[in-house]
Amino acid sequence: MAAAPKVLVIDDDTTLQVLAKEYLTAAGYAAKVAEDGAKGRRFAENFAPDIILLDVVMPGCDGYEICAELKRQPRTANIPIVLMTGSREPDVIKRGLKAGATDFITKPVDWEFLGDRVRHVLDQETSRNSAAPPVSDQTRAASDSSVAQRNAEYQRENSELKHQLLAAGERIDELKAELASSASANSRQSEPSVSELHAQISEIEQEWSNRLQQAVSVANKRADQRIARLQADLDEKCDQLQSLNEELERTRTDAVAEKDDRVRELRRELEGAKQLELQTLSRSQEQKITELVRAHEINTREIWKFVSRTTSEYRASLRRSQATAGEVQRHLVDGSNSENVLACLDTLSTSMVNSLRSVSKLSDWALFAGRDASETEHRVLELGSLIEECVRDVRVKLDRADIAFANAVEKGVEIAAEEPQLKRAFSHLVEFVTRYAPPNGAVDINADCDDSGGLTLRFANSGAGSTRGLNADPVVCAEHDAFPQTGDSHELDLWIAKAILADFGGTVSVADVANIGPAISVWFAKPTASDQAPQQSEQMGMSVAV
Amino acid sequence: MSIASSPVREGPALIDQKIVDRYTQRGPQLITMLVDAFLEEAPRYFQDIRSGMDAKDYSAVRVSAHGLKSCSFNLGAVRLAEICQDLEDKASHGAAPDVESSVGLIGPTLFDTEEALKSLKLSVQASQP
Repeated sequence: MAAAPKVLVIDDDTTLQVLAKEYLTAAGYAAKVAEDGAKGRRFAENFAPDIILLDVVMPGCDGYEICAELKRQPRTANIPIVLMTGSREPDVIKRGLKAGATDFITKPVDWEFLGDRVRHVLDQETSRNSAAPPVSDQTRAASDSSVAQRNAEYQRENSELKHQLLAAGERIDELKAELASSASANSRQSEPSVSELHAQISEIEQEWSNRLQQAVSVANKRADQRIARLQADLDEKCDQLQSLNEELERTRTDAVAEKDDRVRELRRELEGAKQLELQTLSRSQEQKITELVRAHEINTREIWKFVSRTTSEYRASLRRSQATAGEVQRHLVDGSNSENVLACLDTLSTSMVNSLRSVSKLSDWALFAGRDASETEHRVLELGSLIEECVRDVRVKLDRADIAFANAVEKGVEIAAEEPQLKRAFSHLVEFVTRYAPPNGAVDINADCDDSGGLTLRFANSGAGSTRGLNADPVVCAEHDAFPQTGDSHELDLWIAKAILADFGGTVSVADVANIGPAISVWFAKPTASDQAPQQSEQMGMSVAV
Repeated sequence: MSIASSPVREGPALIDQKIVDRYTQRGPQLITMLVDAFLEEAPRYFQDIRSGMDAKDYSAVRVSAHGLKSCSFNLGAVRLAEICQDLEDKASHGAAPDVESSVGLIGPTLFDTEEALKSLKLSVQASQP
């Protein structure tokens, strides 16, 4: 089972020490606390924690200094240090990184997540260490090969020495064997020779022993020298390694600081770019809003102009319609012929159609502007219905007027036939014509029909454009409401002509019809043998065979 | 357990009950140890603050205020912590009248906080079988 990671907490706050121990232990760490920097340094070297949580502000010591010092010591240099700070000074991070801190925790500490935070830092540290820099491998490899080379040399020399010693030993054995054989063969020879041989052997042995000792001594010296050299090389390499590690750490710290600076710079740039973009967007939006407002104002003005124009048109159309309706009414009252009435009615219809068009335009605008279209349409339809009703009413009245007029004409004819005064008037007329009408002459008869129905006839002998003869006294007929109450004399002419013919016979030829106002002229011309038609004139004429 | 019955002066809450509840959920020992630790070290910090004030040593005042702030936060004593933060800021700038006025606020609030925490500790211990 893996040992629990060790956490050293350096903080003077007792409550924090209690809480740190409580929560870190619960999270599976082995926690140790130190209340000041000195104890913290001692524990860091002896306890060998995997991570240190270090307070920044403590009485009598500076957390940054403690951090930097721990990073300088080889035994604690590689321990990740997390600074805990509740300071609001702006350069806390910078100072911490410069001191060699790995990470930061702000106070008050979120105890629930402290274990996770520590785990995160440890994981980061592990992954950083596993990706070791290539420089150390090369240095180690170079150092290892040098040591191997020296070892190989040493072993070679050692092997040679051993061979020499073996060879010397064998020679000694040979000599001993020779000595033994010559001692047995020459046992009867003088003892001093054997002693001499022994002495020689002893000398040889002593010599070889000395040589061996020398060789061993030399070999040992050489070995010691080599070991010393190797040790010196190793120390040098360790120092180089240490320097490289320190340089690496500084580079890493600088790189981190540089990276942070760059990140801050980029953030500032990004913020600036965002602000600029926001400002640009804001200006653009303001411009758009201004344009929209302006367009809306223009549109509104145009709309009101349109409304004003259309309502003016509508009012003008209505006024024309009213005026025309008034004319129609007057014509109907005055008994004008229906053609005039129809013309007025057409004008009225046109005015009303224009009114309808104006109202439709307003209705469309109301729809477009989102007004209550249904109400506007309802009003338009209402108005349209009123107009149609008015037109129908006028037409009906006109039809009735026509009928009444036609009836009146016919009735007048009948009445005229029975009217004694009229009869007398026509008697006078015929008598006058008979007595005074020159051959092919003409008699002017002026007939006035007043509003109350009175008919006044005047006779005159006009001749060929001149008036001579007797001026008949006007004969006033009795008032009768059957006479057509109209200012148009055409119908009256016809009526009189029919009345005369009905009473006295004769033929009527209409030379021309002209509206000459309320007074008409009727002349009688004695037909010639050739029955020539009477001369045309602007006045209506009829010829009566007398 | 509630500390609302403690005699408190007007202002923000003296103790953040949520923080206290988190500790009591872990058992009575933790809150007892915390209160004891606070009752031992808070007066020391306060004395250091007053000594610093007397000596016009605002750096010492700042450090002690920082320490008192830290342990106050740990116990949920938010009102005292805020006063200490204010004092720490003012001591950093070194304006004497401002620092003095802030120091004047610490004493009564510290007293109230201690009383509240003592009540809390008693109620926690009383609730144990």
